[in-house]
Amino acid sequence: MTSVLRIHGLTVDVGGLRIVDGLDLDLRKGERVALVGESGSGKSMTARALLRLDPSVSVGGSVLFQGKELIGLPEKEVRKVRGSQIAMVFQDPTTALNPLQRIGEQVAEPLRLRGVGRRSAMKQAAEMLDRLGVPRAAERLGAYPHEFSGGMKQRVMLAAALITRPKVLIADEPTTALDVRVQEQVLTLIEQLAAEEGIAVLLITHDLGIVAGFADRVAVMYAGRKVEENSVDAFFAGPSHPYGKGLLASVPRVDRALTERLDTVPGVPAKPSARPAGCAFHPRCAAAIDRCRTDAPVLLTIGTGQAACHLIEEGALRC
Amino acid sequence: MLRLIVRRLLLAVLTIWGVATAVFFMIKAIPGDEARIAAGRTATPEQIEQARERLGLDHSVVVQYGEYLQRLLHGDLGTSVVTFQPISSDLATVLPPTLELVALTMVINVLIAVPLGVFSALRLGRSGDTASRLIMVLGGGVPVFWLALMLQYLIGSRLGWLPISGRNDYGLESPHVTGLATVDALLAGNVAGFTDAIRHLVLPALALSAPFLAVVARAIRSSMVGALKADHVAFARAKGASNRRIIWRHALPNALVPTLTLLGMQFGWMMGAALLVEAVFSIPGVGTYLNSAVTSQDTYAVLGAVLVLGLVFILANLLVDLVQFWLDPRTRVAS
Repeated sequence: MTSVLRIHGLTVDVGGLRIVDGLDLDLRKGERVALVGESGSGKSMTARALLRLDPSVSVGGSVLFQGKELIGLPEKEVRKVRGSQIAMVFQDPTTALNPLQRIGEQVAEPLRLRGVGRRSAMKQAAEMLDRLGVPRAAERLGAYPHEFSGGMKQRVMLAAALITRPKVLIADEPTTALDVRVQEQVLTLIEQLAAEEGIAVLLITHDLGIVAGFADRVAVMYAGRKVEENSVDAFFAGPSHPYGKGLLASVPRVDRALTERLDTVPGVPAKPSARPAGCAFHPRCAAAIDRCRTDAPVLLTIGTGQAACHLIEEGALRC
Repeated sequence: MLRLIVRRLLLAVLTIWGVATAVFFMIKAIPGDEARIAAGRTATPEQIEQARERLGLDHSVVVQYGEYLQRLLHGDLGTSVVTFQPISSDLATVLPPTLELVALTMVINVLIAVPLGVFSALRLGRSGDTASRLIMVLGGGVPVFWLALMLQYLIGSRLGWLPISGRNDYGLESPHVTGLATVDALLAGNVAGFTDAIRHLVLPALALSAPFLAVVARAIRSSMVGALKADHVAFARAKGASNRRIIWRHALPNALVPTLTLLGMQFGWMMGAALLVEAVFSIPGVGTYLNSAVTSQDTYAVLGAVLVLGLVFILANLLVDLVQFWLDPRTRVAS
């Protein structure tokens, strides 16, 4: 299958600090990929950098969208891609919708920006909202965001993102601000629509719990670098990287007693301003060897995936 | 929605009553014989007794308060001891020039402050921002009467571009209808008179606007900086909106909402500060009236003017509340 989005050596610098350092990631048509990591790992910055949302942030490397290079493209050209080819939804639907504008206007905006007439755009907005399960969608086009619940607002945001039938949807923590039951509904909706329209989804999240049921593939980021990537099945069967193992061990499980202490990854995430030498994870890694403190590991193929860890070469990690 | 408006109106009436009550007790707090104050300094003992009887000053305070409110409802604010006219008719003459001046000041205020604040926010931390903030600091720090004198001297006197005093040139006055020189000129179809009236207002309004626009520009700047960082702006960008659309359609309206409240209060403050330019440009407004009333110890005139200024303040804020209902749907939710 061909890639719709091919990210190669992506770098993101904010105020002289390297937030994302040489990220590679492929997104194939209709595929759902999860990019996971702790707060500050650079996953959200990656998402925003793909669409160049922050003018003050400098983005390097290569992002090929259907063979077309997006990095270095003039703002005017990037604008044609935003919303129509690559769409994005944000974490908090309460702040991501404009409180002063009507729902219909906000959902129809991507179409209106592309010259679609008002009536036709509104009609399509109503259809999209209806598909996403907003009750009495046509009547509610004139409503304002504060009249909607969190879950409904997230559907509104999804409708605005998907109304142009984009090829790629970037979902930046789309369910973090929602309660668990609504999380499930929203993810199911994304899954359904993506499958029907053949949309590739890049899900940015820190919640491994939602990854298992949603994604085809997982990439793990730590301190601005990808440290592991694998199919969901292989990853959940046994991560290769000590960090991946730590993350998985810290997910609460139903088959364990509540009295047991939850496993955690010791220490705090590395800051971009004070990235440890060698493998950025070594200060928190129980299995770290001398080499980890000096040499930065590269991604090596292991089984069906990749991992960046010296222990693989040392033979200390099994596939 | 209607219920909210009605509630706001009732609240405004209640506030006006509060101001009237405060003014009543200010009269009571003034030391000395109130009948003497009301009759004026040169009054004979008979005239003082007449005033005492007319104002019911021999009654209890509660009865006096009731009578005072009753007189207010009939528009009776007492008689000026200087002009010997009813204070209400004095105020009807001096209020329009000030209202006109303050209205134009407000227009200049918004026309300069909003673009300046937006520009500053867009150039955040760069030289354009620094330059804009310098203008804001200068505008906020310069004394209004000094600026008025300088404008009068440089633009009015030296360059001769604009008139330096009064409201209309000789022969261009229009028949008195509203007392607003501009509106009266329009009503009379007197185009030259209208232009002339505006030209007379430009310099005083410009001088008066300086400290106010400095504050508004700063408020716009900071709320615009916040609005540009908002998630919904990032979402609009992700939808493919252009920078221009993002600034005017997605960020500025949101940044204006909090500033609106400030503008409402500024309208009232401008009424009070108008004195500073009215004196320089010889405009017969409320400020000038209040000033001469204070110097000639025309107590009832002072209190009448204070009452009217309070009224204008309340009405301006009422107007702002109504605009806010229209602009921000969240405020329409009855709590």
